[in-house]
Amino acid sequence: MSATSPDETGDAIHLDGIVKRFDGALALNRASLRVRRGTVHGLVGQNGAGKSTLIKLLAGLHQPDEGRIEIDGQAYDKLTPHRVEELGIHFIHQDRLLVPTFTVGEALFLGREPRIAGTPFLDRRLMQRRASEILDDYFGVKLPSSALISELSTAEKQIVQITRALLDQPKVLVFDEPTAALVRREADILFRLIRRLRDEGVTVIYISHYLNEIEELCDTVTVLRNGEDVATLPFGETSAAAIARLMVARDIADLYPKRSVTPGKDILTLDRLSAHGKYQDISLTLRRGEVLGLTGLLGSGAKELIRTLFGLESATSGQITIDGKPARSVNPAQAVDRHLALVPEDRRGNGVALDLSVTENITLSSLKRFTRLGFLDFTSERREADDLIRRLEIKTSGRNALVRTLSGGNQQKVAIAKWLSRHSEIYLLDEPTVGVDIGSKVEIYNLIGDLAARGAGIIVLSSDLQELIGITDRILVLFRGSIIREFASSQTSLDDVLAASTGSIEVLRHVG
Amino acid sequence: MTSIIDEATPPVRRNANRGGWLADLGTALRSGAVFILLAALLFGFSAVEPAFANLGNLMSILQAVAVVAILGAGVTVTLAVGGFDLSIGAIAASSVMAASYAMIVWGLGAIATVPLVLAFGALIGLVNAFLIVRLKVPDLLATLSMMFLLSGLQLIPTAGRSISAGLILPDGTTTTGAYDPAFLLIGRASLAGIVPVSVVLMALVAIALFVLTERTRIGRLLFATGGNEVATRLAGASTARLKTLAYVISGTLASLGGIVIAARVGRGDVSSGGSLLMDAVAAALIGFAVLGKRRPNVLGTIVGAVFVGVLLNGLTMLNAPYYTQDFVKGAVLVGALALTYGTVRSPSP
Repeated sequence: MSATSPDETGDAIHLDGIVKRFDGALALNRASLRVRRGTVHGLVGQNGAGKSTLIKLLAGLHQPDEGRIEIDGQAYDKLTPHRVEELGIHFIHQDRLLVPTFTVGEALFLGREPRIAGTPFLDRRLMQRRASEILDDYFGVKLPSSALISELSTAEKQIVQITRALLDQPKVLVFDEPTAALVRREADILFRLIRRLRDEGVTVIYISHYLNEIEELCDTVTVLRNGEDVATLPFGETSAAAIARLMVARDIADLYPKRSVTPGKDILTLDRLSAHGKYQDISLTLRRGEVLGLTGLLGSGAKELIRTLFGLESATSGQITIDGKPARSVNPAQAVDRHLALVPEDRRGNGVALDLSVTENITLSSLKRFTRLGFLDFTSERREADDLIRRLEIKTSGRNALVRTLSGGNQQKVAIAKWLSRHSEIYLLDEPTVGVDIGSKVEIYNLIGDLAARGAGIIVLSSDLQELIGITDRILVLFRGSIIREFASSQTSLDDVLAASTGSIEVLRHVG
Repeated sequence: MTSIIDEATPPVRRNANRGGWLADLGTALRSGAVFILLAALLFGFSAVEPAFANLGNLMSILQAVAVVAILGAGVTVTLAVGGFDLSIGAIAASSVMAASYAMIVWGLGAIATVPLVLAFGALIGLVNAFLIVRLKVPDLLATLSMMFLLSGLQLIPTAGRSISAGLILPDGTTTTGAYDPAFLLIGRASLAGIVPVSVVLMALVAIALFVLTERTRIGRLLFATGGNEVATRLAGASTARLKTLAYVISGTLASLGGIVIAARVGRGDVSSGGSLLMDAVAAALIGFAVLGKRRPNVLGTIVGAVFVGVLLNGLTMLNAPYYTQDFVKGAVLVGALALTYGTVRSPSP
């Protein structure tokens, strides 16, 4: 893409000794980031470590209180978003909005539409041609440029964003959590693209919670903690585990805490549960005190199974038994009454109400307990909220704070606290730690352990296999709607589970 | 939102915000801004025009805003569930016609007319809810269509004529009924000769809806539905029923507003209720700024309606021409919304 500069070894970006305060609180404390030209540079840190502040400074959205910003060896006093784009620095952010009612073509050229020379008219043909060239060359995909953005999948939207950046022949591309909403296959395409861009001389800054991605992709990684850069390491000399230690200042063995609980009585039993076209003949037993892992690719039926248990979809045949009683729920209200709890994957969309307070979210499903003759009993509600905030170590400025102001991990704790308040006994946790920083992850794992110790049954649906192996007792692998393998978590390896979930085992069986 | 008092003083972020007492003061001022302005208006108008402050005038202000406040309370509930009811103005207007028709054409008395008209409003609310909840028509579109439909429907029984005693029906017969004097009391009588009945109705609606929305489980769930419908449903609440309830409340209150208008005017005027929708929505939106709640709330709506009423009444006394009224309302609304949304929150690090 961009012409390779003669000074091959120079720094594309050098942020030096950056200090940034918000209302007196120190967000960045003399943080530095030095990115060499033509490399993929990872940036990691827990939520609140200062990653996004640093990136916003680079994007010209904030100005530093102290420190120097150098781009291509030249110092800049004041960056504006416009200036940054002129310098060839582009940002790919999963939340960054594309106008949903625009066509792909319109979105790609928004704000810099080429005109037919000498006229005010848009050069539609040129737009069309350049867009399809890049789409075809880099992604090998054909997106009809007349498709609406709102019709695209998350991965396709990201392609549009990246293409938009590539149209400008960028020098630096900053990816902010690009894979959070991608499935593995899509992520692989993205990684291939990033490597190719690097080989073409583009500098890439890659921000992710997923350390395995960082390990796979990055030449160098900078670890931020509490607003400082605690280390910048070439990947030859480090590992994901070492980075995790640097991020949390904690040992890797502590990353997957597992309580040992002796399982009690059966609490949930599925007997040959089937839903036409989604899953078939699912039989399983969950015992009190047990943490059961569930995994499978998209379309394996795992998600639909969880939704069925919670009354959001219906099964066509089979039995669900809770505490010995038949318990097929037709709506969530019924499931909740049967002491089921669902923590959905899309936390911000479905798990919590962002503009309600922490208290209101925590007591949302248990309001009956805080109602006397139809009137809310604020005193006991407050006590409950304070109690759960303390027990779950929810970091918030207070029980009346809007959930929107909390970090992802703490929002997730609120989503779980809601069910603790409801005294739920069967927890269905769908990707409970997606987009959660490592410190909060550990706290959520501990919480799952506590729940098990108190006699709850827990099903964790996750595509993070390391997590499943680390915190569950058993793992069931679904493939094309059937349970194809069961593993005892303590006696299995990542490779085995991965092989099962991608169907390699089934392939072998067919061949054999 | 544990209570009004708690809400008035949002917790200052201890770690992130070291603005100190100055920030506290700013927060307090913003929360109380509408009240402070209201007090300033009352003080200012009575200083300039002593007649402003007498009890009779204050009651007439309340009477003037009663209908808007009642409708606004209904809008507030639909806003709370994340919806919007554009049909309230049309429901009120067609309720005026329905009440008049019931008494003048059918010869019913007040005792039969009032429940009948309220049931009419509730029914329209149900239809709105059916469109929105079951057929998934977007709320604005559903209630906009309902507004259209009702504005037309109210003209059909009388072939477009206003309804007053001695009306000649499309089939040529002359009606014999008349407004029940008891019905007219709703719009014209005053308790102890001081407090107009419509003001009492406004107060009752305000109290009932305040208690419902801020003090009961149902109220909490209404706000939760507006905050995140899916999350609320997953928490085990029936959001479909909650939304239905909101539109039924809104429709019923709109028809109550219509009853008050009919009882005040004493005839079924085809053009009544012109600016009701806009005024009620404005009151509800001004209400966002009251006590710094930044969300729909019944108390705020009532205060918003009263605020506009005081301002218009005072300006009228100072001989401001009638045609400046809409401008004044609009300016208040813009100011209130700026107050609600304009304060830049400290960016999260």
